[in-house]
This record gives sequence, C-alpha cells and structure tokens, in this order.
Amino acid sequence: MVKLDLDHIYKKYDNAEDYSVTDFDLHIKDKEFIVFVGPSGCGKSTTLRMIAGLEDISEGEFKIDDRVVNDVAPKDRDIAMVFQNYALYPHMTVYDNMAFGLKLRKYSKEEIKKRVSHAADILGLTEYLKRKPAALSGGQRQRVALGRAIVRDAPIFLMDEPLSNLDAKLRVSMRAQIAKLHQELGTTTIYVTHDQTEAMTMADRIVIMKDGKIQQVGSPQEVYDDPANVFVGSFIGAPAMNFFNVTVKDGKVYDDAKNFEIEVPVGRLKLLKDKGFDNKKVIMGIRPEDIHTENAFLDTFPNSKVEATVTVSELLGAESQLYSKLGETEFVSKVDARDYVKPGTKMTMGFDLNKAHFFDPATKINLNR
Amino acid sequence: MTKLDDILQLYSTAEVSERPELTPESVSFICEKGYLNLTNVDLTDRELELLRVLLGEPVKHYDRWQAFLCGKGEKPSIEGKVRFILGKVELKNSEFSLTTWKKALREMFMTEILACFQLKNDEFVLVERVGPTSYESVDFLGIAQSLDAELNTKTKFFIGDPWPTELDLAQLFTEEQAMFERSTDKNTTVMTATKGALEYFTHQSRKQSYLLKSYQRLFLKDPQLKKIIQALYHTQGNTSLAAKKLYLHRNSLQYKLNRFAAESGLDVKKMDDLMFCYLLTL
Repeated sequence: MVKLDLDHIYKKYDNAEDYSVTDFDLHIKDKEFIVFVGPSGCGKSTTLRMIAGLEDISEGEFKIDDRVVNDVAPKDRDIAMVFQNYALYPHMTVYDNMAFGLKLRKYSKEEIKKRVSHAADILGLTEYLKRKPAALSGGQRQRVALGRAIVRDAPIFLMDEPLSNLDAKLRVSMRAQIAKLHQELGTTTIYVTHDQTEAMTMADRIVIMKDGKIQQVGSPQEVYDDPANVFVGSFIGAPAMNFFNVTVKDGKVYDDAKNFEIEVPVGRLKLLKDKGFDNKKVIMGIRPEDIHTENAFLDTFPNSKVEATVTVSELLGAESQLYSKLGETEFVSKVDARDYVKPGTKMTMGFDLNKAHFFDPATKINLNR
Repeated sequence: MTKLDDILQLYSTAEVSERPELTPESVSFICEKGYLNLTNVDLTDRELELLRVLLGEPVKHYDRWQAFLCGKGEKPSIEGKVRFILGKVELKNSEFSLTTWKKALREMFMTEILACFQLKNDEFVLVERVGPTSYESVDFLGIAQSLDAELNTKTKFFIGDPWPTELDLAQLFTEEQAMFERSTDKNTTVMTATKGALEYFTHQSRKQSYLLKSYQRLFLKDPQLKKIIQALYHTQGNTSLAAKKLYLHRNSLQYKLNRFAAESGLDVKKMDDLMFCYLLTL
C-alpha cells in the first residue's frame, strides 16, 4: 500500500521573487489516479519534480506511507517517471532501451529479462523488442518510454504530460492504454497535463492549479458541476463556460447595456440575496449546454429568453456550436444539430439559470461556497 | 585554510586559472575556483597519484578541441559545420557518477561527437559535427528528461548555433559560453542562442538605464502586466492567443492593455512598442 501526503508544500527557487508553488496540501490514497491540471507555468511539473526528489522542497513535508521523505534521495523513493519529451537511445534496440536503467543498477541478466518481457507483454511490444527506435511509430516509442518506467517495478508512477507530443487520435488510444495500465499494475499514479479532457477522462480526482496554488480538488464530476471559482469554471469544460458581468435587481439579472434581462429562479435568487448580492454586480457563468434554442425550453421558461446574433455556427454532427453576441459580449452555446443557422442570424435563446453559477466579482469565488 | 590553499603553498609554481594549461609540460585539475595548473617537473609519480585522489582525474591535455577552444592549441582540421552544446548537470541526488552520465548522454547521439570535455565541476562541452540527424533544440528537452528520470540527475543544456568551420570558432565558443553563464532563467532546461540573445546583449545597458527603470514602475500597478506582455510577445502580438494562454477573457486582456497604453503611451499593437515592452520585462 502506498499513500502520499503533501503537507503545505512550498517551492521557491534561489534568487526568485515569488514562490513557484504555494501551500500545496494534498493527500493521495493508495492506487489513486490523480491528475494535476492547469496552464503552463502553474507549478504542476515543479510539484511533480518535488515528489520525485528532483527538486528540493522549500517548506512543508512530503510523506510516503507516513514517512517524511523530504531529504530522501530519488533512488530511495521507489518512484518511476515518464516524461512528455521521451528520448530513446537511437543505437539501442527496444529491449536494450528498456533494460538500460536496470543494467546501470547492476540487476542480473535473468531479472532484467523477466522485467523487460513482462513490461513488453503489457504494452504489446514483444514483437518489437529487437527493433531500433527509428523503426517505431510515435505511439510505439511512447510505449517504450512507458516500458522504461514499468521495469522499475515502482509502486508510484509520475507522468509529466506523456501524451502532449502525440496527434489527437493517438492521444485518445494512449489514454485508454494508460488507464488500462493503471488498473493492471495497481500503482498510485500522479499524472500532469494541461489538457482538461485528459484530466476529465482519466482521473479519480483532479487537482486544478494556477499560479502555483491549488484552485480546487475533486472528482471530474465535482469540479465540472461545482467549480470553486471563475478560473476553474473557465478551465474545465469544452467549450469553456461563458461569463457575463450582470447586476441582480428585482429578481432578474441585467447586463450594463441592458442587452438582456433574465428572471433568476427562486433558489438561485435566495443564494444571491443571502450572500448580499441583491442590487449588486456579480459574474454569471453558464455552460454552453445550458443555453437552449429548442421551443420546449423557451415555452416552459419564457422569462429566460435573450435575443442574440449568431456570428459563427459550427456543425459537429450530432450537435452544433453557435458563437453568438449579446451586445459586445461573446458566448458559445451547444445546441442540437438541427439548430444550425447562418452567421448573422438573430436568434432567441434560453439561459437555464438553474444551472448557472454566480461568482463574487472581487474574489472570483463561487457564491455557493 | 582549504585543501587548495595547502597545495598552492606546497608548489610555488602552481596557479589557479580560469583555463587549463593544456601543454605536455603541465598538468591541470578542475578545482572550485577553475583550474589548478602545475608543471610536470614539480611532481613525482606518487605526488601525481595523491593529487588524483584529492582532486580527481586531471584534464586530458590531448583533447585538441578543448585545447583550441581554451586558447591553447591549433584549430583542428575539419570541414562543414560544428555546434557547441554546453551543459550543466547536478548529481547530488544521483547514485551515479558523471562518467556514467556522460556515457549515457553520448549514447543519445546519432551524429559525430568530435569532443566531450569537462569545463568546470558540473559543466561540460560537446562539440558536434552538424549533420542531417542532428537534434533540434526541442529534442534536447527529451534527452535531459530521459537522463534525469533514469539517473536522478538535473540536467540543463545550452544549444549553440551551427557554425561554418572557417569562422573564429574559439571566439564564438567564448561568447556562447558567456551567454549560457548569463542566462538568468534558472528553471529552463534547454536554452538556445536566440532565446538568450536579447537578455545577454542588453543586460549591461538595462542595468544602467534610468529610462527603463522608470517605465518598469508601471508594472507595480498591475502585477499581471509582465505576464501579459510576455504572452503577447510569444504569440507575436495576437491578443486572442495571448488571452487563451493566460486563461483570461479577451475583453479583460484588452481592457488592461488599453489602461496600460493610456498610462505609458505604449501601444503593444505596434511591433516596436511590443518589443520595447518585452525588454522591460527582462
């Protein structure tokens, strides 16, 4: 069993003005698949490297199974890493590439053969063991990189954007491969990505980071349905959540230019009043799929209607994405494919405010917190 | 008194220098202050052995490229183009030696490596004959990451430009080495000459300029401005891409830029102004 505890971890590089990682506090259960997600420079790779022991921890304690390992060398942490920009030894076969680290560590030939064969079997590389990297496809090379980690037989896997260099189709198949690997090996895995789709599809829990700080931790469903703040709301979900600066007044929300006024459902209005935002400005977030064009919705909720101008209409097959404008504010809605319209068309849409999120404009925090 | 001071006291002709004395009459060891150079005539075999134990292996003076680049030898005869790859490796968390690390590094190359020598304690140089299988700078990130994952090291590279061999390679090497040393972005694994050029060539004048410092005060009003300008610079002035990169709404980004323009008189839609603003962020 391997659990990891990151207790209020901070990282500041020498001569740096600011912390790269601030108060990172997370407890990871045995066999959990945790994904760190966030934009470039948010501190996710730095945190991963601190877990691996490749970066010093400035403050806080990192424990593996309740043992503090801040000063424990990487080789003694029993961790295997996989990187985005894998480099294979070009003159070595797949077998030798996977065996290289074990040879350096003076494992016996028999043990090396056993581990490499097992890893190759899991990854579907057995028939490629005698090939050199130049004779492999991108996906096969990435599997060799995974194989180099698997042979270490470590209970903890750290993966730093391993799929970012692959094309979209290959990424999808490799995601499934990694998920299958995780189930077969039963390792505690921390996976870093900037791609929210990878996070949503692979994680038991997602850790969303920005500017070195955790914004929210939760299951994919939790962070999608209940984003902690504007950043999480905008980061998770594709297309991204739409945001409007509105004023709450007389049971409705209005934008400044009075391009729309929408009735706020009773439950949501109570929240806004309880939090002291009646007659005040808030940021309203609404997901594309919660903006409707079908008559059934518009007839049932006549006070939810807005009149928008569609600027771009993208037919995706089963659905369409409509890029529209309300005054100067642009937004996206996800509608039935039959609602595909020509650019320039004025259209009536319904905002389902039961599903909307309201954020404090000063702190950007979700008002339901 | 350090070990080095003791040695300097014992051998009156010994000296510490920035460069090794790469001649048949001398022997050089890497030390914390650069190179300890001694003349061979001063040393018996036992003394040489003792120095090896204390200071490690001496610098091999038959490395023609090292001799040439350190200003002590003739330019090796070669045609085509060469490239200098400078690097730093931290071994403190590793159970492996620098020799193992260098061996693993050389295994990564398909091109001809003309020389591989140590410059200082943790710095080394590769001289590569540039060919069709030469790595791009992005490939070096993968090399560093693979080596670090395998060997528990921390590796950084500076990838020089490919130079025709008829140029003054020693001078080019000296400048590229200075650029590497100057690089202030300690968290970047792979630096290139073009990445570091602006910072390197403007460093002195930026330090001395009151004009630049006066403009830089604008960043104190909005700490996000620096990141915004850097994102704009790296997206060639494209506000939509920059906003996406920063996870800002495009309108919010535009609002901040409009405010900045009103206060500073600088319009980042103009390339010259954007370049100047980027300089302010360095």
